[in-house]
Amino acid sequence: MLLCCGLFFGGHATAVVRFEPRSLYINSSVPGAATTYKVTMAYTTQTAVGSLDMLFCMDPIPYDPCVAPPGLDVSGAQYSESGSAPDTGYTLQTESPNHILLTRNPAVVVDGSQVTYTFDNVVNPTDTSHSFAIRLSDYASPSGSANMQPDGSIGVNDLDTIDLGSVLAQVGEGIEIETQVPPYLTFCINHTVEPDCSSTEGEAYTDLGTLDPSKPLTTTSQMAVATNAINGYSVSINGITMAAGTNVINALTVPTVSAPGNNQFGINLRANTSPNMGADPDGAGSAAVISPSYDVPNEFAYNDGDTLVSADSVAIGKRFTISYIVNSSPNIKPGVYTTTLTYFAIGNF
Amino acid sequence: MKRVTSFLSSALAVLFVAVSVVPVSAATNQTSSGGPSSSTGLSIQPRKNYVVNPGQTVTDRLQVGNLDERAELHVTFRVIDFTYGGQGGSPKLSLAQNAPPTPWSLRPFMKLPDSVTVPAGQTTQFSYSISIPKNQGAGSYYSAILYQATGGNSGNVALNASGVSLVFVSVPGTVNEKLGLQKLGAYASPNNGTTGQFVYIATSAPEMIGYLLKNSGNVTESPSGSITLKDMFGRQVNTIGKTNGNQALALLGQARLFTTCIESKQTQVQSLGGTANVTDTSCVKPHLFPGRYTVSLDAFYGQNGNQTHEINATAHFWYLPWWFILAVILVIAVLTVVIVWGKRRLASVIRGTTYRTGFGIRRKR
Repeated sequence: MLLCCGLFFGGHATAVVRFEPRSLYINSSVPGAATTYKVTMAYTTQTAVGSLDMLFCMDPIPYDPCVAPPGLDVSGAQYSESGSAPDTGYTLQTESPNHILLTRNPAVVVDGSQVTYTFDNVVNPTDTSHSFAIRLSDYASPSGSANMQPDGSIGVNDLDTIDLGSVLAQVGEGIEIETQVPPYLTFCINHTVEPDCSSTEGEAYTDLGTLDPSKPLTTTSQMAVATNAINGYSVSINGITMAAGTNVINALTVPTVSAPGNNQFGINLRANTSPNMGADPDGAGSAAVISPSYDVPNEFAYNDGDTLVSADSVAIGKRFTISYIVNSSPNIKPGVYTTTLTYFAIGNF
Repeated sequence: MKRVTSFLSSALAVLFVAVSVVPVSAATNQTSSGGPSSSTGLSIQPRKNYVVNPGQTVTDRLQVGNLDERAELHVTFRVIDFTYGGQGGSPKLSLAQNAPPTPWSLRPFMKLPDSVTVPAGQTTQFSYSISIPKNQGAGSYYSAILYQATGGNSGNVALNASGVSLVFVSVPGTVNEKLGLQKLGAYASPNNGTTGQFVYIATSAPEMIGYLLKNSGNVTESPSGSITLKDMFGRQVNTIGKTNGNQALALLGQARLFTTCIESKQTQVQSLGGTANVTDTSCVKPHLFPGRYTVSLDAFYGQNGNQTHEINATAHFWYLPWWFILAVILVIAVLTVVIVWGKRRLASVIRGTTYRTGFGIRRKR
């Protein structure tokens, strides 16, 4: 009975906000630069507060172990504050390169009143690929939390902690920082290519021959893609279907088998047996996947603007063989049917 | 004179006949062997991010590499707009020549050269600039630089290769930030999150947790946080520290799907004391027991100088593998048989006796 009730109970998501408002302003987002940090916040719980803890971590969750942002250094920070008592009156105590404790004689704070704590000469992290956070927490004791773990985490039910909250930031890419290896995206297409694009063979065009209603015209080309960018890449295809002036051969909008005697234009990226052509992807890269419409052997499709392949993370070289088919009806209008297809390799966001 | 005219006429007639009998050869299925006449292999920087104040101009350089060791690479540049194509991170390009700029377009602010030629096997840098007007409002602006390599221009099927660099500019100031949670739960995907769907009752252990956030603000957002998974007894099964490990973005107006592995190959290797290959972010089957699970999301987002926002949410899913369902059915069936048999047995015992209150059970004589 309970199982049945549970089955019918739909999962739902609810949203809860804890400690606010709070914000962080960084005067310069240049990696490794010494700059000013301003933490603006309002106390939620109106009670005696003796210390305000600020722990700089890659992860904003206070219950997780803290990993210090690479390159960050607050040990030389100079402190000033703006706001009204009793939310001010702290002195700075630096615990480590990523840990600041503001301490004072305990005083009852004002609920909802915003105060800004300013730290000059904070050295920015150097990792531009990931955000970082300042974990804020306040305590009655001027010594901060007695229960903070060596890894910087605090317990979910820690009785010392009054309020919690984290603020996020991220340093930007420096311009022309020569010491960094920039992300790259490599792409090549031709009749045949190597998986790492080190060489290509053939020309970037194909003559298919004379249209024949009894059999499909076929050809193949190859492309290879790789990226070290953390968001991966997509490859899309653009261009109209085979056309001779205003006469077109219909593109297959959904995956369809080759049917000679019908006007069809389509592609896929798999090894086919009917007709016998093409190849499955090869190369060491495992992150890339073919879009479902182009991932069915012996079925072909084409839609202008479709994404053919995508990878959602770093993807080393992978080679794809594109198979093209053209079928024509017996009463197709005469002409030279052509198409120009442009393949776009794009970094994902 | 008449002879010359006659001779010329005859010569022209012979020439005409000679041309008319030459057959029009059908184009054969051919591709020329050997290397290409112009390169169709390029290497680019896929993305650039800037923070630019109103009234400020930034100048930067981009690299374009020619992967072909034999042919030159001729590249023409164009700035185009893009938006999201769905719930994922693949951009949808606006390629029409006369397309109107998007509200977040950088096209009016960018200057770059028309084209560049890169020698075989070499890399070239080119400069470009972004000038943000003085009165430009705070927020996110983005466009793409299209590198069009001149490829095939003949034959039935001509192929062109193009690379695209995405350019994001953040204009600092007070912005409107709003991420709304639309879905949270177990996510079944055959390909590490590229495609898939949310599941509430899973018959095979789900490998991923997904959450869908709708961006209704005027800045791109990249939330950060963690996800906790607990079983129906409240025990913590796993804590996923990087809910957005790739720093994926939710573009303006996009409902962006973020997925993360419950257990990844990396964490599995690291938990065994090994060093994980950072390029392999694939998921592995988590060690889950049948039952109801609770997913708790704690995600943060916020721009520089603006309020930090937090999203706390919980959702549930059931993991009921087929063997468990069959086992439950079997247990129920056995219990049913036992209960029915027990009742019949008891009934037959009672029929064989007389029971009267206060007198107990007496066997019929």
